[in-house]
Amino acid sequence: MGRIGVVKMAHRKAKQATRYLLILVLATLGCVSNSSAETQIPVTLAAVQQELRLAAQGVETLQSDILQEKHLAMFAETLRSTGRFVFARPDKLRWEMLKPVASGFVLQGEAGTRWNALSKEVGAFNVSADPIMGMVSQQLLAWARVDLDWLNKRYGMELICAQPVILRLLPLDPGEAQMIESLRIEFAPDRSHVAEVVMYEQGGDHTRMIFSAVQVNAPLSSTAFEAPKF
Amino acid sequence: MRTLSWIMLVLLLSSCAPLPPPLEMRTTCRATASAPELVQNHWLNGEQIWRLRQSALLEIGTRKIALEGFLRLDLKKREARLVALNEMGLVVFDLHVDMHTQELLRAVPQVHETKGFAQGVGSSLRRMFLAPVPQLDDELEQRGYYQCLLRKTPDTKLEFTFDCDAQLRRTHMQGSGAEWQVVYNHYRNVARATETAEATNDANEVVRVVLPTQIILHNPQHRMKLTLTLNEAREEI
Repeated sequence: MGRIGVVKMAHRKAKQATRYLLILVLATLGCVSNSSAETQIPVTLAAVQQELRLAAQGVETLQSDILQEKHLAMFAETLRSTGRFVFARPDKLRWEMLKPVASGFVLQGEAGTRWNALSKEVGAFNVSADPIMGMVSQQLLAWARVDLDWLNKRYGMELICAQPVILRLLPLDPGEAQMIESLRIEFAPDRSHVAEVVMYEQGGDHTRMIFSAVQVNAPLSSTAFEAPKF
Repeated sequence: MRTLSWIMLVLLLSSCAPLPPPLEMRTTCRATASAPELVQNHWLNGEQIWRLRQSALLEIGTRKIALEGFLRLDLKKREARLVALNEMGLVVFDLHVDMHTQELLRAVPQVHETKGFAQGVGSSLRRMFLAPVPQLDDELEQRGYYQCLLRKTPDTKLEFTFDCDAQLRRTHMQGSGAEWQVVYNHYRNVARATETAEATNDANEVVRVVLPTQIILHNPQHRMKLTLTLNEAREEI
């Protein structure tokens, strides 16, 4: 073997070692579920986004339970709430907390209705006139639809992990960035929907939203997007 | 005609104001505690640090705002810190209150833009949890099934009402341009973990204390009512 051949072989070995090292690091971080994942890892954010788009295309409706954990850093305290989440393409949404206090909202496009069992009040809102509700509901819609175009416009995006897909989002809007430091979005193994969102706030608090018992394309109740009556 | 207009305006304003809170007390009993017992034994006279998860309903005129809140109440230092959250757990505001001042530590822009917000919420929390509180030199009045401790000045009358279980049920301020009351309802047993219980994980060491699970501040002058409902309570060791 000539000198060039030796160099080529060393180069190939180095490349291979780097690839194994990358897989080892990802596996250590809990990103890769098995060794065959080497060939499955799309290495670019664009490739992962394309896969997410394709996987979400067939999703018309989503329903799930929600566990919301609010971590208050200053008090080392976790506040847990539970509820339900319903989505129907293109723009219908229900976000409902059931415990400890029933509250939530339904949304269709820009118009929504929110309620709270404590006030026994049901009131209309519009996402363009209510910035906080606007931010909250547009976020939820974007996650449910896997609307990467919307997310790309609003956030700088980083690929944290390829299997399961975990994205880190950094707000581009200065107003939102005053409140939100970043978002961590984890997708279900089949990539058709979001399994978990962590919202890191400026100041150290964070909120984890875990979507469980997810039903994809199951029939929805006729009242799924109606506010409750008090 | 002008008189009629004024009457209409008063009627309109009063119809928009939140209703005063109900004060329901057991009447088939007799309140017999001494003044020192009332002063020393009411729940705000402790030295505990409470971590209280609450739901808050703020009514101003006909407007109602509901929030979730986490309150750290330090009865020894006489200070409180309230973190209010929206439906998605986002912090709406974070307010620290002591006996005389309040500081808005964090808030969404809409709260920052609301003039007098920190002072308004701060004074409400102060009246509910920190001051005024009954004192030994308040005058005791027996009223059958309830008792009152009274503190009078030439301009003001401050009245603390206790039920026949000697629980503080109402603080009522009148006069000198001030008119407000705080009502403490639905006292319930809350587990209070002692240090021994924490260390040994022994359920027998858990002490039961009673806390009001509904607290209502009513301020008719500002047509304002704030109702706090206790969902969870834990003592900080």
